[in-house]
Amino acid sequence: METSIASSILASLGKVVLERQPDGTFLQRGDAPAWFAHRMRGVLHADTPIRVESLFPFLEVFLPEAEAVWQGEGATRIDSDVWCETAEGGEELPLEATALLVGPARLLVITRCDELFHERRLVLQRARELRITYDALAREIEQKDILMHCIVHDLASPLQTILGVLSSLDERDPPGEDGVLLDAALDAALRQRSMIREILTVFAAEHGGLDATHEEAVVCDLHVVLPHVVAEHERTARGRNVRIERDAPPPGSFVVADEPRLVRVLANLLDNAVRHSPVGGHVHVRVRGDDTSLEVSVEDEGPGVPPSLAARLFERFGRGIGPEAGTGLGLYFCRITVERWGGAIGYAAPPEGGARFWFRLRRAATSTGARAA
Amino acid sequence: MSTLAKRKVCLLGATGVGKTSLVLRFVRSIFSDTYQTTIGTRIETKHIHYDDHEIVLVLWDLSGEDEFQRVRLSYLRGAAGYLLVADGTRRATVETALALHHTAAALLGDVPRVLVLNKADLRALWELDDASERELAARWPVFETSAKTGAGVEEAFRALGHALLPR
Ligand SMILES: Nc1nc2c(ncn2[C@@H]2O[C@H](COP(=O)(O)OP(=O)(O)OP(=O)(O)O)[C@@H](O)[C@H]2O)c(=O)[nH]1
Ligand SMILES: [Mg+2]
Repeated sequence: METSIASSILASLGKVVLERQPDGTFLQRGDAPAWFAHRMRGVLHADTPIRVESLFPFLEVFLPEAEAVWQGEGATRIDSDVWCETAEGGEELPLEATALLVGPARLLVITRCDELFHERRLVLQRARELRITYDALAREIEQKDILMHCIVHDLASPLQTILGVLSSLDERDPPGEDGVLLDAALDAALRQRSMIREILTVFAAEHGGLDATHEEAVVCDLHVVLPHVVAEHERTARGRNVRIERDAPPPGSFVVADEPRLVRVLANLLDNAVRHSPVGGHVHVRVRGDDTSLEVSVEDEGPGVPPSLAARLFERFGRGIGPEAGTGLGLYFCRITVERWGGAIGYAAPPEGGARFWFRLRRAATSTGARAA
Repeated sequence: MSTLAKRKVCLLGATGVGKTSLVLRFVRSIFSDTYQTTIGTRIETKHIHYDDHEIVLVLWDLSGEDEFQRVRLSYLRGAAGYLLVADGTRRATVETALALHHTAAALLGDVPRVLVLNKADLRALWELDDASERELAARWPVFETSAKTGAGVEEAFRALGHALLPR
């Protein structure tokens, strides 16, 4: 009586219980759930030996594992992964098998597991779809980058001609207002060229131009680089009546960085600081260090960065797009460059106003070349 | 009289490359644009007739390999050959297929296999250039297929089936 209740409970839970016989076939025990009875249509007796691996080819890979349980080696139970059969009418029939040793009985329980199957599908399906969409978007962005690179590259060649013409006119030293206009045109063209170079450098850095093996090897001395970059910016700064004041890093301030790019990073920050300074303002360049790193900061007395932009400042086009924002790639370039050297970069709003940009570079233990000299 | 040989064949590849679609196209001549990821394993069989031979392919369509799930290697047990599937519009899926090949070859030895570059109908988005396809073709039987249009599908399965005929 009890056995028969138990077996109809199992059947109504969608489980069929099969007992392994010494010859490797199986006999059905208890009631068959509907899905199993359907599969077994045409089999005359409930006690007909069943070859489960013919009925469910998936079990070919599970039975050897189940055998270990039935031989009493180790675990007393093992579950298969889900597999899917096709039910009558073509719909999916998800199944799962469990091998058990109950007393002397070697049991194989096969369960119809629609719920587990659909739950798992829901999660995996969503995850995989998102992955595929993400990959597709990443590819699209990369293609657009390449397109942009080509366009920018093409824009540079007529500019070379314009610069050439303007320079040779300038050499003739035209008098009066012509000379002033010419200087303005030359300045604008030079600025345009440097913007184009910046974009191309960002592109090169993103697409593998800066290789990792490069990083450790390259060392430069802030003691040399910093004064040089500051001196270059003093002229433009004077034009706006802005004064740049700088610390003098001690000789042998070696950091992990390569010089041309470090110059660009510094130049970017100085450019920004001078551009955003009020007329007659000051820009401070400070250097601080500890045992492992050196930090350079550039501070100006301008309006500072609106809090709404601060979080995205070092992203692409993080300063928004407009004449004041330049290419929108300068700070982005600084970040990817400094990070590839193992350094960090950031922005802080000083309490007294203005803007403070800083970057920190790892100290290079020694610069063989420089020390030997 | 020829005996009917049954051969287990596994479909291996990254997720979403079209393993299930290829099986459904080959076995039932159907295709759907909606993606339904395979959970666990699904097995289909198909008879293939050659001039004087016939073979039954037992096709094991496995859940794809990705960061959410690995292919269970124990499922390769007993496979007579395998079909590596990559998506020609996603270069990275070729790498996944080749990695799966190395694992499968370590388990099964040098059994017949073919490499299928699926989604050939999406030529405009194709990420493999001729040079890299030639390079692959030097090491593999390579088929360009489209489960969507059916192009190349029959050929790929038949070629693998042929290599599995009893000699
Ligand atoms: N255009 C096109 N789409 C295809 C082709 N083959 C498959 N697809 C689509 O690609 C998506 C994934 O196909 P599936 O067959 O489910 O891929 P799978 O390799 O079985 O994926 P998993 O089971 O998740 O590993 C579906 O949206 C299909 O409609 C093809 O040849 N051409
Ligand atoms: Mg699938």
